[in-house]
Amino acid sequence: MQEAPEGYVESYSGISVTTTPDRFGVNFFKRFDVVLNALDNVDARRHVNRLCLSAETPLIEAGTTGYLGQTMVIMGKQTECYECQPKPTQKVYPICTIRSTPSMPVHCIVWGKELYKLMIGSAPDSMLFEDEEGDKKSTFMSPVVNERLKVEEKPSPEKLLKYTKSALTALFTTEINKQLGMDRYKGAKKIPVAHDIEAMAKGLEAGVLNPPSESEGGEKRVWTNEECCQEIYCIVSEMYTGATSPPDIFSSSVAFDKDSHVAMRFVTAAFNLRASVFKIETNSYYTAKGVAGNIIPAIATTNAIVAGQEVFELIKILKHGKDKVMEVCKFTYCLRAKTRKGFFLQPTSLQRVRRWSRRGTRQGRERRREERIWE
Amino acid sequence: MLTKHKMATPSTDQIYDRQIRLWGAESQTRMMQSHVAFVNVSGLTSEVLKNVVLAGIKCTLISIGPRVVSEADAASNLFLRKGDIGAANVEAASQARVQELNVHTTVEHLVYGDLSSFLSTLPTSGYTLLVSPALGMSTLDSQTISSSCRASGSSLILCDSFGFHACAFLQVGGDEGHTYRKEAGKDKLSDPMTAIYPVIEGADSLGDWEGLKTRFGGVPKEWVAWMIGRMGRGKGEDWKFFAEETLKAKKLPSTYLGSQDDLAALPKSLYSSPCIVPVCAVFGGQLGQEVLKMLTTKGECAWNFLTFNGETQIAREVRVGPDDGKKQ
Repeated sequence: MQEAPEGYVESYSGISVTTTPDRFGVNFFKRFDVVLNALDNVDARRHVNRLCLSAETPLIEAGTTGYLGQTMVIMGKQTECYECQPKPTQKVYPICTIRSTPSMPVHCIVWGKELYKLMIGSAPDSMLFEDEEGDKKSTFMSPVVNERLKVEEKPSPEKLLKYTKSALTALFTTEINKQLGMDRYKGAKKIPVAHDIEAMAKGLEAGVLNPPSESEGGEKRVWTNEECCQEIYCIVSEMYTGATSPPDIFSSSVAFDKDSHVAMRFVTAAFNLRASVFKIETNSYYTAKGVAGNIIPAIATTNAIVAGQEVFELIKILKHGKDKVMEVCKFTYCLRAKTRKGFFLQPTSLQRVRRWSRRGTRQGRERRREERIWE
Repeated sequence: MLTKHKMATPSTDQIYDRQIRLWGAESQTRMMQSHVAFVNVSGLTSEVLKNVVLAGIKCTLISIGPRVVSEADAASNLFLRKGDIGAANVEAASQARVQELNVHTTVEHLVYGDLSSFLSTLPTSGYTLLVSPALGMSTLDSQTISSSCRASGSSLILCDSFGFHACAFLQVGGDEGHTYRKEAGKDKLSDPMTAIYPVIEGADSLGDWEGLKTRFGGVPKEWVAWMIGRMGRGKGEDWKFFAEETLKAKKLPSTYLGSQDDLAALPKSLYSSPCIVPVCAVFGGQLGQEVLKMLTTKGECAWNFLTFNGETQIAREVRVGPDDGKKQ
């Protein structure tokens, strides 16, 4: 849409900076007077940070989330770099929490993603997969995985319904009752209650596919347990009848992706069934998608402010030179509400570099070793 | 004039997914039922326009008086190109590119011969908000816009960027004021609060600018420059003298805006130089945030001036009033 009035724009698309180090290594970054970031993940930022430090090129780093954002400048030997401060990492939940003792909706959503892999995708990749023999195996492994139907045999709607009911019963009735029988939840604040899948799935008719996700407002409202069973039956039917063989089904290419409508429908239904067993709050497709996909809200206004601030830092670097970054450049937060002094944008000084040059310290040696790798 | 507004539907939910997750479906619907008029689009207001259109809000571009595209227009306005220089009308030349940003909202264009013929349509137009530059019109005209908006219940933003600075006057709601809820923690909103916004005539007739200082500092220089810029329009050779006299009259030192040379350079940046793009981007984004707060009634809007200083990169509220902004 835009023309570049006087300048020259060269673009490289479809290539990942992190996987083509020969092309986009230190020498590439040495070509530039300044580098500006507009990235959306921590790994890429770390990578560019290290390369710019090695190339001794000033890096203008920025990020936004919803109404909030910040801009800073990184210059080797003057300022702190991107990795000097610890960054929040993706939250990982203990396996036992997911498999046995969920207490929050997100635990059930993660479980739903794993069930998707177990039932429709590549089962061994799922956290719920077990290959132990004997009594130790969970009661759902056989009905869900071992009794999968064969796509090439073109299973009838009746067979697909029978498989679905059997899998759901194992997951939400049999296994829960087994755990309760083993006093697994003795002393727990909320004792789980197994579903009566037989009763819930009574209304399902072989070959009749009315997924609640397709109904009026289906994505925004919370489905009943009966509707969740119906949704799963519909998905099982669709996946089997639509597939010709792996990779359409039972392969690792059938992985959870928040933009895959069928994956999100499955996860929503599975999450709601699981959450209601454990008396955890259930929720809609829409909300589940936000949690399952780690969706970061984004709006034009914050991006405009932060991008404009990046250009201000660029102008200062070009005017004063990269040796003066620490003196002239700023760290700026973009705020939702004004401060006590009535400020909406309040730049502060950049943090000075931490010295790793102390000889003899293990941290210093490790850091210098890391820096050499990138030269 | 009946205008058909768009409602949030399942298909628009998809498009606006990332922003609905931030402010909720109710706010999205409220925004899609709003209608913002942009009068004589400038470099700064073109950035605000971009932010408003992307959010899904219906916009009307209003041309008042001669609007031939100049070199300065093409260099400042986000929606104009070099090839548009000499075209008959800035808004007409911009309209298609504005619409291209978001095909799911409506971008109209209306032309009026003069300000009074436009203002006479305000009572029935249903505009939620008017956005206009102020340096291109007399103070009397900006006061007329302000009181007309107040009478018809439309909100108003008058704003300009000049050199590395920018300034805006905000007037939210009509006589009854603007009722909103502050954000008080995650997913929590305060009880409804109401703020009354005075018309600009109040600030224009203030006799003492020195008294606007707070314990955090004096009144911002960019605000002073903008006010003098609005009053000093058309002074030509006498501008510097007028500026010094005004500073003295408002009880500020005559060197408040800098040396003699600094004062001499001001008219060019106030009235004729093209806008500096990052200034428009940053302040246009800030004003966009204010527009979102106004239309969704979530969050407290600035009261009642907002300024940006490109040298310090500080954006701040300047409470000029008069009145203290609270409903009695």
